[in-house]
Amino acid sequence: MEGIAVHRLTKRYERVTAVDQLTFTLVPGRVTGFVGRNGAGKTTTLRMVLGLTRPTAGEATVSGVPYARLRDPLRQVGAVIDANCFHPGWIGRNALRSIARTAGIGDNRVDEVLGLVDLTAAAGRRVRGYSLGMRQRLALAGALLGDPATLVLDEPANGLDPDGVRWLRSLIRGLGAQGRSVLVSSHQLAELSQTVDDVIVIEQGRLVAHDSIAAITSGADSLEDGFLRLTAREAE
Amino acid sequence: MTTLISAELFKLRSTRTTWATAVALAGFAIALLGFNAALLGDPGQPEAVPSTLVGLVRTPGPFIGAGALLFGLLLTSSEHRHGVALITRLGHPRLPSLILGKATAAAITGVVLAVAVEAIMVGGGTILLASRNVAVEPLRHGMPGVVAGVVAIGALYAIAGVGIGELLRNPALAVGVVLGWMFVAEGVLPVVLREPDVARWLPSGLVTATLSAGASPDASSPAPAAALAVLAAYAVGLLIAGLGRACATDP
Repeated sequence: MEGIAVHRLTKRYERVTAVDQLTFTLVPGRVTGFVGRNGAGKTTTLRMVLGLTRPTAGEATVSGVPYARLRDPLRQVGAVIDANCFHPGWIGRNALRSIARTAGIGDNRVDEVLGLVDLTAAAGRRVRGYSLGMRQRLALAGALLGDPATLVLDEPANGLDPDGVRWLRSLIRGLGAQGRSVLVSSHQLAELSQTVDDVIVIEQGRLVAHDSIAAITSGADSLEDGFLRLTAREAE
Repeated sequence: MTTLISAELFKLRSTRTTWATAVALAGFAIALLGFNAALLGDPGQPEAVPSTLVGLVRTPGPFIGAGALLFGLLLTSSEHRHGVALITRLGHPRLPSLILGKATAAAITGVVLAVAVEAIMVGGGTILLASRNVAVEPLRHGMPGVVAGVVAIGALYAIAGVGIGELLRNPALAVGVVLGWMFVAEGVLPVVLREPDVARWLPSGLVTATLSAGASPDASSPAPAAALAVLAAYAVGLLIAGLGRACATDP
């Protein structure tokens, strides 16, 4: 099954080109890191993939069609774009139930994903009382509700404590091992290097590299070194 | 669409403001009945007569409209305010059907609210009249038309609320604009335009006309059915404006 494919994707805001003819395809069953500096165009790209931002040119597809044309999108793509995407007055379980009902997903699955992200005990509390890490876990639970084949995660480790980061790493690796296609955007390169199979590097909206983690870090001490070397070369 | 409407109804059920509004309106209905029970037939007060019931049923109409409008506003503007709109869009990426689903859910809630409050008024009013040995005539004095009008107002105001919420995308701003319209603009417009009759075609005047079945006819007011049709046009117009804003802003 084809996962995410991005072809000559471009987004311009007046004179600023946020994403510039970006092209890549994700391989199902592999976890791909999506890295770049602040303002490199990562979030804009992810939003275009998810149909939340209209591209100026080019196309992003999931399973061969644009996100907006997916039938039952929550069962095909799970996404974490912002941890602050739940009404603070809702209790955690109801926040997930409201998403689940959109896709006709039962309450059993809600309880299952709450367990998966270790939020069962806090499921009856209002979201306004959640820490950033707990909201991040709740957003992850929302992404997993439809048991999707493709996951798009924007900075999923934000706000997680060291235990949470370790848990997230194991979760993402597990999802990849199940044959899912996972795209993870992150600035925490040391952590990302322990999680991903492939890496996409972008700089000023353009693709710098898309290769396996081994190839990207070849001749470098770490992913961070590899990233800095690649982006410095691009700047020259 | 069914799952979307179910999800939107669930959101409304899970929001405390919805219940607070419903309880406040039910409390208002009960207080109104108590007030009438205490005063009807007192010296200087109207006597309890068969047509008293339709008056009781008519009175909460504008308040039900305001409550339903709040439901619609919450369902859209609050989602934008708290970032929930993002999750909703991921689950249902097609904007026109998303907004139509929200409007349907809000209208259903408005209808339920109207039916619940009217049930209190009809039930309580019947007991009140029966206790005074006054004939209860639920199918006369324009009662069916007034009850249908109140229910329709509940649905239409909720749809208008979805449109306004999508247009303004901020609950405080939306509530402020609505209050400003109801308490300032509707009073000022006829004066500024030097056309007092304009007030009859503004939402508050149309609500009064819609609920006028069985009341003394006012030749210059639109007939209840015509008033309801114009109210529906306002609601649909606002919904289309909200959808237009959403389509212009979002993909």
